[in-house]
Amino acid sequence: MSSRDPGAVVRRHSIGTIDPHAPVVTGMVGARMETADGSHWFDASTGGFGAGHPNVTAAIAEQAGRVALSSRILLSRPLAEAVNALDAFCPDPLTVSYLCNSGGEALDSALKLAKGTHPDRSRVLGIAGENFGTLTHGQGLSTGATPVPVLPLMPVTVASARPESLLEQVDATLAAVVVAPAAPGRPLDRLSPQWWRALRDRCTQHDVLLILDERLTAPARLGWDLATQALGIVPDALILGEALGADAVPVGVMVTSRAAYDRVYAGKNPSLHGSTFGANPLSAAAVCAVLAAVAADGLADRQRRAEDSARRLLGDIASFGTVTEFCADGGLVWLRLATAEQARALTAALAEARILVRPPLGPDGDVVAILPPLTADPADLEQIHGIVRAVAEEVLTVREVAA
Amino acid sequence: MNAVPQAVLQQRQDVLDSLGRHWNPTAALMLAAASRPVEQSASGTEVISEEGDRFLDLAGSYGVFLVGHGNPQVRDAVLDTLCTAPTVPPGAVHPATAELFELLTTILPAGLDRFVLGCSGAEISETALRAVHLARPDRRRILIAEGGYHGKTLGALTVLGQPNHREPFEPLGSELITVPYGDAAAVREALADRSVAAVFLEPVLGGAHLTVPPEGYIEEVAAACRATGTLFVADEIQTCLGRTGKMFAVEHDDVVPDILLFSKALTGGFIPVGVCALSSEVVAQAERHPLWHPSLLAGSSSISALSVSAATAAIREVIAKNLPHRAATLGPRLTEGLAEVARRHPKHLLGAPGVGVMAGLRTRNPSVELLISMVMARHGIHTGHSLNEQIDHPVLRFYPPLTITAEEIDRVLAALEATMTWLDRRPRRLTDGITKLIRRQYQLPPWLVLKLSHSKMRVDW
Repeated sequence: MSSRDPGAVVRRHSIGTIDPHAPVVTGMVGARMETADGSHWFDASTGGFGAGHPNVTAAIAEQAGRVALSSRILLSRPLAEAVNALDAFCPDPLTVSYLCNSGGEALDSALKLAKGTHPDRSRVLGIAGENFGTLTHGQGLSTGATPVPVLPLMPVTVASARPESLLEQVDATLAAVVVAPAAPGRPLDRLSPQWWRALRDRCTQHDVLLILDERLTAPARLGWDLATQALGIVPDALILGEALGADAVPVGVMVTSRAAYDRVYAGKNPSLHGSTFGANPLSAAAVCAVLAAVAADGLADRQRRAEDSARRLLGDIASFGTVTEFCADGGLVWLRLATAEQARALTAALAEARILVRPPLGPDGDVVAILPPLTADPADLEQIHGIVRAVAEEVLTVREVAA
Repeated sequence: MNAVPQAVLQQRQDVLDSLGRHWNPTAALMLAAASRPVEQSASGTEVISEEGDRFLDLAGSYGVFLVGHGNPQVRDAVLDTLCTAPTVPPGAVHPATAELFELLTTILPAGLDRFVLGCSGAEISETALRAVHLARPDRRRILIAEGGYHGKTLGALTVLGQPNHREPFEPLGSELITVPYGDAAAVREALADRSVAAVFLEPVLGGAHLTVPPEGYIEEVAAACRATGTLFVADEIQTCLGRTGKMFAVEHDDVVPDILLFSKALTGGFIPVGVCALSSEVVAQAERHPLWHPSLLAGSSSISALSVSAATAAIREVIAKNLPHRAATLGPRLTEGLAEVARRHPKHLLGAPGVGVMAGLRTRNPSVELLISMVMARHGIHTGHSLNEQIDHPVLRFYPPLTITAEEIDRVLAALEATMTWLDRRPRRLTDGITKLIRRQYQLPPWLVLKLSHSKMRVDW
């Protein structure tokens, strides 16, 4: 254990700004966090599966005791079980799973599939300001620009205020479209089922790979196992992220159809795409355990109840003048503030109340997301939503009066 | 070898069917052809099947298992973190990260004191790519070595020196200069006009091209970079933490790069993790770019407290057991032994490149590599096959865990001698013919691949 202040050490050697008051986490179960100063927090930041689930923890520990990473010189039973589970979890014809080390890598794998499908196409389309992971192409989509002079797929974006305009941009110059079912700042119903069907049709018409980014929305987050169930379409590639590894074992998955996969990889050396660590037994065991827990614990239903709680306790929050929008799609809960400054103020006030949320999101930095883990105890969710309301009332109302 | 019971064969078939239908159909076909058993556990230098058969692992996932399979110290650290605080929530700090960062400052060359964490070599290669373009905004070109490998994500493909992995996705748009590995003059010439942002280079060229460079090569490259304001990115993803006999391979030439990438052995064999270590000067230059935002050099969203705990425990093991020294002292038993085998069997072997415990056999053609790996597997020894049948002289790799004993190395060399004696009785034209066949193996009907491999498995996916 470091003898110095952990926060100071991490700030010294990291890149970017880390809040000097960031909590130092020493214990986590569900949404509950203990910190080095002995205080108790709620985690509304991770937006993942959650720590301390008995069955998942036991499964990971058991696999770690036998084989974690693997030389892959023998057959992997955990991998076979994981891809069977993913096949059962995803809609047909999404039957082929590529397991890698992060949601960002999984998204990148879909982009690579798109580029291999159409080597002559050099553009990928997304909604500006949303999160597309930390790899170079994903960052380019988030910001609409990249410091790398030329990328295999250059990002093209539509404004977050007009996500529906994505449809107009789909043509045969694109290799892929990447879009999440919903995102902090964009409610699920912002894009109608008709719009999604039109997007599906247009991608099919122009042979553009439709990549549905469910890193945040699945499993279970929106109240369905997969949010694609709510959209009424099946994408060409579906991306799942860190929640599948219980936020503990790094993993991401791209699931696609055999037909889409074969267009690039059939009859080719299997090393054409892959990763040293990808598809390792420990991550495969984690995926199996998490998917089993999603079903056994009814986590999609739990997110619907989380939505009920959020609506009951926060539903009228938009009547506070400085909150311009409130959304609860299952366990994807967020508020839009009138300004980025107010979003930062709310985030800081929530931290004082021992609720950890991510730094403000969206292209304008005006969205505060409330993202407890999927396994958060329902009573804890009630508390979180109640504290958010109290803090918002106090901070935002006081600021309004002051203004 | 005893016949495998039908029930066991059926269990393997069930696993293969799942992998073929729902994971990677071609990889599953290759596994079916190799008639491999199912992995049950791994410990030290051994991998153990569900039937209890034990295999010496000289493949080592190309450097991952430096501290051995199932290292108890790393496992305990991982399980302890799993049961306390396995996650690093956005906006929070985890003490395990601080512990790792403090430890990194004690092992890295002085000056490399800013760290970005990733979950794969490819992720941190992409981080480095963004960093060098941020820090050198007026320079569009990147220099790499022929055969160089820095990952296969779509961004990392742009700096990949292996054409067979790039071509299906080209054009990639990057402005690359590719020079022969080991040729310092070619690097100097390419950098002279100051249009190159960075050199991405492995201090020991890995993969199927395993090559130990001429003495002083890395120092000459670093000097050329300094003279032209070009950034030097040392890719130590395979060579880190002692495999070559030094903590980092750049130390053989006493070089401090601007950016150093390392992973594989850092995982301790447990949890994916990699580090992109940068100098503060490079970071300061990057921060002056008009597009600068800290998120451009953000770590992977997938990094967990398990990743950093595993890395810390792995480094502590490397230090406690002085593994760089062990690689330097035990390594020659392997490298010189392989060189002796290569001298005795020139019909099929061209040499035995190696340093520390990063060693290999340069083969006459891809079928020689395949045949040696298959026969060695029958001896219960798994080697690092390159899966690269397109190049002329692939290197079959021997990257053992440093839990390997001198006696086990002797066993490997004895099995290799027997294998080569067997192979020497086969004419070169046979291996030439097999090479032509395996260069088409992925287009052959699966039943023919299985028949040629004498496999009892089925392929119906």
